Amino acid sequence: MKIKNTDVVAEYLHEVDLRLTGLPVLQRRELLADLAAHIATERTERNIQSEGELIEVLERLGSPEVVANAAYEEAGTRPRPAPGSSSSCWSSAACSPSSRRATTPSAAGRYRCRPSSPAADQSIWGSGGPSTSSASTIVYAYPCSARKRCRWAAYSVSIVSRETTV
Amino acid sequence: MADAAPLSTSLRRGTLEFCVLALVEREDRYGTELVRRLGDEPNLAASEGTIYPLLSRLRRVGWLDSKWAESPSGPPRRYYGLTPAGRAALEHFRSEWVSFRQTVDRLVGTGEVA
Repeated sequence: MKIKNTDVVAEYLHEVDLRLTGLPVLQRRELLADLAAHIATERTERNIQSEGELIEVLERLGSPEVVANAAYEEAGTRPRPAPGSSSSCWSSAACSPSSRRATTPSAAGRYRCRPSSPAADQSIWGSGGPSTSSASTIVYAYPCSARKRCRWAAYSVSIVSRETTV
Repeated sequence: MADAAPLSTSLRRGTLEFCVLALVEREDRYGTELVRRLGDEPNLAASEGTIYPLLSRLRRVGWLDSKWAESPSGPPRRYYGLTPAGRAALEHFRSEWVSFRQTVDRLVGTGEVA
């Protein structure tokens, strides 16, 4: 699974970057450099090998929206809508695939599962959690059976949504 | 019972930065180290990624300085240290906090029973 690790990190950092357009460029670069260094340090010091472990590192960092909002708060400015992305696209299955940029294919095709309880996921993710669609077609890219909780479900949803554009 | 999250967020705001200053009071620490240390405290726990914007602000206001250094094993680390201004801010907070805490304890009834 190693080949996917770089994709996952790059995607995460890109999603953060998309949400930082209202910040001065130096602050933006600084935050991205700090996040990248954090991830690299975690990978080394925790000897992270699998994509699942790496995703847990990203989970602990927080969703791109949460991180970006903190950056705006600390900078004393208000967040701007991210071009080519939106909060719902990252955190919900309800986004339009056409609004997503095309990127590298993900692991979505390999892992699929459903949340055991949408309500449970909501309690983990709060208002940013995955939402059920009318067609009940939420498909998660991460193998929930291999994890205690589907906390990364929101991320996985965005992968699935994006992949439909590839 | 009301959701506890907004309360903890409010309590954290305005105090977390001084916890960060205190963590680098005696020795410089690198970002991931600070993030892990704060994450060990249940009352302060927030998404780890939100600490970096805070560190950035503390550096911009001149309370922290930072420098990149090679790591013995792994990628370079950004070490944060307390500036004289940061040290003064921390000392000021400490004196204010004691007084503030005592006032809240007295009004809310959370102080030690005499």
